[in-house]
Amino acid sequence: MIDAQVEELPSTVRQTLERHIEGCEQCAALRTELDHLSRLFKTAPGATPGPELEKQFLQMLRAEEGAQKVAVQPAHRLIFWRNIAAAVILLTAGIGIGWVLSGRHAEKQDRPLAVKPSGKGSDTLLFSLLKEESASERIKAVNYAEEMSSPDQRVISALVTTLDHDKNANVRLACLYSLARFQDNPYVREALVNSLPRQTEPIVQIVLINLLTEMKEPRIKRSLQDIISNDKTPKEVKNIAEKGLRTM
Amino acid sequence: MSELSVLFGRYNVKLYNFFLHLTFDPAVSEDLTQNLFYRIIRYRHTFDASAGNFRSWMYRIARNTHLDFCKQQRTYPLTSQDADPPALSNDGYGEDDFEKLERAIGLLDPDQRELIVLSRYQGLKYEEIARLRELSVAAVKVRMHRAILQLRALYFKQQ
Repeated sequence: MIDAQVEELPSTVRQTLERHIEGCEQCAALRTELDHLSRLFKTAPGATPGPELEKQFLQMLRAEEGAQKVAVQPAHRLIFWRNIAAAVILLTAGIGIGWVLSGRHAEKQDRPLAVKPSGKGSDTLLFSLLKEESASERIKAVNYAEEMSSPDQRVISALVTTLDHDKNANVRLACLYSLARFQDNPYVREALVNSLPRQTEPIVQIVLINLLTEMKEPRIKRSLQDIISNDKTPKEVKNIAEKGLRTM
Repeated sequence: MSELSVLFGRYNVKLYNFFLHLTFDPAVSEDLTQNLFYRIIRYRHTFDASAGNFRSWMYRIARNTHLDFCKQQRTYPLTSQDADPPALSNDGYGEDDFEKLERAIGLLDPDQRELIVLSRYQGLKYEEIARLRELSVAAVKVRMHRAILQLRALYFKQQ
């Protein structure tokens, strides 16, 4: 009877079942109840996730696309062409990341003053959201920071701490993108350098290496060598680290 | 990458509801859906079409995402007594009916709850669930029968 609700029974079995139910009050009652539950399942309206979910998905997709551009390697080509291709990929990735980061920076600068949530109120909200258990809420906090045209040192420090210690890779990635806007700030620059050996999630490592390589930051050489020599480092990350080292 | 966007459009609501029926927590369900898609993006190259269809692969990751969450929380899934049931709108039945159903599902043991959610809400066939749970189809049927009868008892006991 239960199977009949989700799959087509052979006609002989179905007929036997129907004949039995006609003569059995207990089974007829059971079927009425099962049919009631079955209709409830079929008509139960689903809940809809908030718009943040799609926004975060697109953010992850963009990060992955950026990582993929630099991770792609021709497998069966001559060394010469491989080197040419690698150079082109690196250049494209560098331009791509630079374009994304500078575009985000320019986008923020172009926004009207009305969208700047500066002041102690928004700082408080940001710090409170960063302590939330939910990763979505913490990403919201990072987005608040992005809305600030000139966040103070406390906000920058909170972003650095989150980049280094948040348990969720997507939150760390969002922080990284946010901090990249302030790459000219010596404190942020040093924090990004110090963060590289702490990162273990491949996608965060790749984006951070690309950013620091583009910044021509010589202090990451040691970290890159450690990443390359670590047996646990995924191949894609090693490739990016080796390319980064070569461009230093 | 455009396929991943299509995939997200097709499955995000369904998977969000999968987590919602297991956790009864909208914010946690959004996080888990986000983590699931992160894993799909990251590990999409590991999908092997010869080992099963994409849907099975995706639900396998969804199950693991939920189990990892339970381990992190050091607790097994919440029951619906621990959290408010999600607000579900009325569609032919009274809202009370749906709330009663959610409460009854929340009172099932986690294994039975997952079976019901996979089969009745997510529409997976017994064969797919059997592959996912690494059980025989016959074993899935036996467990499903027990789960449905238990659910029936819990649901109608509330009336």
